[in-house]
Amino acid sequence: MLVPKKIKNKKGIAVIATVAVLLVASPFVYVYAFNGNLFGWQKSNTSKEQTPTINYDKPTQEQIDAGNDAKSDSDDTYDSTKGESDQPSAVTLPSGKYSADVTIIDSGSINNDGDVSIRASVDAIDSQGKCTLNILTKSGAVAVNQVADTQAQSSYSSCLGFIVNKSDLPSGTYTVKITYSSNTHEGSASAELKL
Amino acid sequence: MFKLNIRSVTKAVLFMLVFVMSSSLVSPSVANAADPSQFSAENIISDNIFTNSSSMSVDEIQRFLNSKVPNCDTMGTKRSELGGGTRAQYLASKGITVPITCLKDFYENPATKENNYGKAIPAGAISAAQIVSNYAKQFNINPQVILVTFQKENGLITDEWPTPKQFTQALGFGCPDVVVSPGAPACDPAYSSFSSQVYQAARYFRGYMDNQYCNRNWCTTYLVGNNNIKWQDPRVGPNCGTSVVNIRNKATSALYSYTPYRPNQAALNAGYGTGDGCSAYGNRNFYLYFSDWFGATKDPSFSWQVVGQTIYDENKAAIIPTDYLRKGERVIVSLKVKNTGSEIWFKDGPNPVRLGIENQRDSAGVFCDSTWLSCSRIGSIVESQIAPGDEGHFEFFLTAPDSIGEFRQYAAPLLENRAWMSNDTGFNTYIKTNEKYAWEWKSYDAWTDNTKTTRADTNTLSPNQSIFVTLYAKNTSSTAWNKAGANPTRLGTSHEIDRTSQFCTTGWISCIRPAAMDQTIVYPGQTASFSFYVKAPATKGEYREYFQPVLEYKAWTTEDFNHMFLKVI
Repeated sequence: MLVPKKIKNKKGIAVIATVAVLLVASPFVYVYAFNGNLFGWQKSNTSKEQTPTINYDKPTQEQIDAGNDAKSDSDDTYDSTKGESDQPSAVTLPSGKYSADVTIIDSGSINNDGDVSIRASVDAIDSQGKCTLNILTKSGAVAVNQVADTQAQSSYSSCLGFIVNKSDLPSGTYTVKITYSSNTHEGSASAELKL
Repeated sequence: MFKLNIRSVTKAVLFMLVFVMSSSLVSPSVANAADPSQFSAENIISDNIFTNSSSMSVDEIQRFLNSKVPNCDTMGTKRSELGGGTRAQYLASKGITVPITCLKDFYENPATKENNYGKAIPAGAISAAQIVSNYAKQFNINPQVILVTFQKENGLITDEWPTPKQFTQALGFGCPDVVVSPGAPACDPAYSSFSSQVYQAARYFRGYMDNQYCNRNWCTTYLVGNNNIKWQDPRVGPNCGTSVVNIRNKATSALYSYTPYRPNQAALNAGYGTGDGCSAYGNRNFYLYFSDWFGATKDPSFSWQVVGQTIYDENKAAIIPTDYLRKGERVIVSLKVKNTGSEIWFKDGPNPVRLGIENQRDSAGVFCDSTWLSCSRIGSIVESQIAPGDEGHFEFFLTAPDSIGEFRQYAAPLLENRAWMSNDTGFNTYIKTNEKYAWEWKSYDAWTDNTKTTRADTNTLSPNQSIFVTLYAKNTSSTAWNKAGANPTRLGTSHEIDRTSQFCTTGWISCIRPAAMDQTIVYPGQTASFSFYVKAPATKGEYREYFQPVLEYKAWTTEDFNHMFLKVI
């Protein structure tokens, strides 16, 4: 069995201490030099500027707080025990259904086929609802009437594509009205269309 | 008594060495500072970056998740930020028992939807990092997009005490922004698992990218082009209406189709904070988190504009036109340019910004000069670097071709080994070479006669005294001067040219041509001489006479204002 010799003399201790100091100091010197503080070494700004980077730092408190906000915002279900000031109220319409907000995203642009494209969204997630498009003339006459299904999106729904043949709409100003209806919700929105 | 053990010392030293090396070099700190002022509602993220599915490996995703939650509060011992005592107590009030599982430690079996929240890892489960990587690759979506969406929807990346609900609603897919129906579930139960959330979000992002239309089969709600986009959900505040956003790319279309609100200026001004009653934060936070964690959301762009150019003579002593240069004449061009791209231009490094021949890239330029880097690379920027929006210079020599004609050369900056820059206006230099007949007055000497033995003092001449003079003229023309031939070079009177000289005397060719050139031929750059007798006027006074070489029957050389001076006393 190999038994290490004990260091007994002061000279040996001094040598080991010196080596230890050098070993401990060298990485610091290396890092210091690497950062461009010695020997004129320079880190390459160019590669840093032009290479996509991943930030592995700890998150900032601001980022954590924003995350906590998201956490406190969500609830599993509508809480009827909370007051109106604590959560949005459900507006009940005369029909007995709840109100849904309809947004006309495009009231009529000419698509690649030369037809009129109209898009709308509904603030309820629903793939069973119906959207109805009415394009009204200035006199209130219905020039176009179409019905489309809805497509559920991540947090809302959209009306599945209203495409109107341009020949059905002579040049002029129209009112585009989109009505959404499901078993539980309904709503509508209007916008102007100039052709 | 203090004792040293050599093994202990060595271990300690090695430990410190490894520690310092690993903390300082292996994990360099990367600072990607998000700037909300750079948020563009029309172009939030580029298509290339949005679909870069190989941006991170599974290990990198795992390492990223670890870095954002250094210490998961597994037992919920810290004080709850939402009130209710400790986090464990708060969760207990919601029916959730510890231990808590953070995203970095989360596993789920995508087939059975079983996960390890608060319990052991079920059979067949894979890590959250693996799930993200798998679906990112399957739908060719950047995993960083999914990671950022975790954070902006539920704060899941940085949360050290997430609830199970944050996993089942991880990406907010199937979850309305506001629940208004009493008794209605917040989210669609069909997507209430972590893997379903990732799968559906990635699938829809891909659907928006691939299907830029809205018809009876599919609807990408917000398409490239003009869209009315709400400032925020009117159910959570005032009805703030919409604004028209001209969406510029499919990736931005996908983000709005996923999160249908545009942040207002108050939201942008607030950084990660709270704006005003019309503020929405989803797409703002996407931009901020992505920028902070993964860098720019847009592809680097390299473009430029010409601010102006000045052309000097070879010595940079005078500004000159370029439509009358000698064959082979050199000029200096100072080209002032503006960096209109998104990246810094560097003079040196792996991609130095240089000026290159543009008509046919990498071909030899018609004005190639010996000082160029090569005949297809005119030179580098003068400044060490030029930041976006700043102006800088190229300065370089051009050599006019060694033939008569009109020449135009197009040039453009490029990042060497990377990309050429584009611009709207282009840059070119026009040079017209022609024969040029020029000279430079050097001096003149005077003698008493043509033996040139005794100097004459032109300030103390007697009336009608004849002296012999030699006038020296440097040929700065583009062609040689010849003594004989069809166009002999002679000295003529000038100011006005062909004026009868008052110094005219015997030996002159005529009183408007003092002499022929002494030498047989004088090439450009050499000095010629003209020797002839001069007769001082009969009246006392001071007299000046102007001369100019002429290539007889062809052209006068350029005018010079030096003159010969005689004083009769």
